[in-house]
Amino acid sequence: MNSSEFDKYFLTLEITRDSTFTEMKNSYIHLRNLYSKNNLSISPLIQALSKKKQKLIVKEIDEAFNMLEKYYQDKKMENIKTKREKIQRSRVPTFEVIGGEALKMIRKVLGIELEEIAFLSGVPLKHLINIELERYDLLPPDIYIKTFLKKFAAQLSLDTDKVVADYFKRMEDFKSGIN
Amino acid sequence: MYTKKMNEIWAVAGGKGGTGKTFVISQIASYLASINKKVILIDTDFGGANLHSFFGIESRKKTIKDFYKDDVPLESLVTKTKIKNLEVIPGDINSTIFDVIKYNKKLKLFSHIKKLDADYILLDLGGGFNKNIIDFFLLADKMVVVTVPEITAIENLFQFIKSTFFRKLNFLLGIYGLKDFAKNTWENRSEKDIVTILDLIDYVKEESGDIGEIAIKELQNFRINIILNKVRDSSEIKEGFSLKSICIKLIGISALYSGYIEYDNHFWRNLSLTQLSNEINISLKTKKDVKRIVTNIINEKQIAIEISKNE
Repeated sequence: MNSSEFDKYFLTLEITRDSTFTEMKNSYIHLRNLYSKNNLSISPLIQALSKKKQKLIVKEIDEAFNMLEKYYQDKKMENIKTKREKIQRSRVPTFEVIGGEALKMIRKVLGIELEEIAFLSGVPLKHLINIELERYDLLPPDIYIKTFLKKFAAQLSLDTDKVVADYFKRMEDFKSGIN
Repeated sequence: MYTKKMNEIWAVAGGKGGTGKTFVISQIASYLASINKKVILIDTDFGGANLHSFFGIESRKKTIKDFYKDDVPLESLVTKTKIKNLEVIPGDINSTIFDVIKYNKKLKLFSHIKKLDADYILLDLGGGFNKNIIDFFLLADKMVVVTVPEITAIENLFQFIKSTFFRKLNFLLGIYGLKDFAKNTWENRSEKDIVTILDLIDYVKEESGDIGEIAIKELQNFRINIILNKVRDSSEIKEGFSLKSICIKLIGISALYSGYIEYDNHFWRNLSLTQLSNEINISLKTKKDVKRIVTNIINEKQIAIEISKNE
């Protein structure tokens, strides 16, 4: 459900989007009491409504509460998720130069499987494995490596340009070392 | 290009006398002045003017009456008070001139009020339902109501809000060529199964098609800010939420519960007009309550309901 579709439920419970879950619940309890129990001093004004109309209002209040309860639960889960990601990100070690080994370590800290990155980025799994293990001889031509590295780095929320530059530097150093 | 900054007009009505409206408005004004806003308080309480007493203004040579009667410029009626940034235009106790104000005269007063040099203009409207009060209320930038947690006062205020909204609805429908449509429908409401103003709105929408829809769209910015005065306990605080709710669900307007002021036993027991003008008599708790109310009104926010575990 689109989040703006919840607007009418906030309106029904007479609260706003920045209200907390407790505020929402309290407002619900008060309104339910107001329109169904007729025991508040203001009740004479409400009794002017037909029983049918009162029931309709109560029904709408109940529906709004049920929907918003789910809304707040989802929001809570989302918050937990972002919080977890934030904590994981803070644990990511910093590297002067990012090579295959560094990529692997960062990925592990973030708790992401290579399969998932392959799925999300469209980079074939075997290339991702070879990138991490720095099996330069098995990698495709440079232009592909560059694209794959960028996609890989993006999945790990890293600076894509830095990753490409670092990786190529290490690769060239390695190759010139052999010669 | 230099453009003069616009003031914001807050109209404060109460529906019924004895709600402490003038006390509340004087505290709102004092608070705004204390946060360095220039405030002019206008006493339009026709026939029941008492605002001057709150600020210790003894001689009332200049009153709002002079504007109507002798075309005295409005800005020359502005009188200083002991409080920095706060000025008033006193009302006239004995005047009956307001009974016959024509609508265009009210518009004229409003255009002059709008030109006054201030950040906020507060209008202290009288009690009751007369058309002058309703029209002044409707012309303001912010509509504020003050009541006390007593069923008679709340009922009375609810009627006031209903009448105000009804007048606005009629006015708007009139502009779109549907003069008296709402009025006639309301008069025959029992035949049409109409109980609340909300039912009436639905009926107008159905019967008048696009035109009614346009008029009703303009009603969406009709928003009431509710203040509860002389509140003693948590159940009385809730009366404000109940009032807000019936405004929303029975009239179909937008309403915000800006806050409440706790009953200050010491203050009301020692009440005398000379003491009123003395800031020392206002408790810190009251000042905090007022601060919250003003902040909420400025930011179009409201207080949240609290329910204890054993309820």
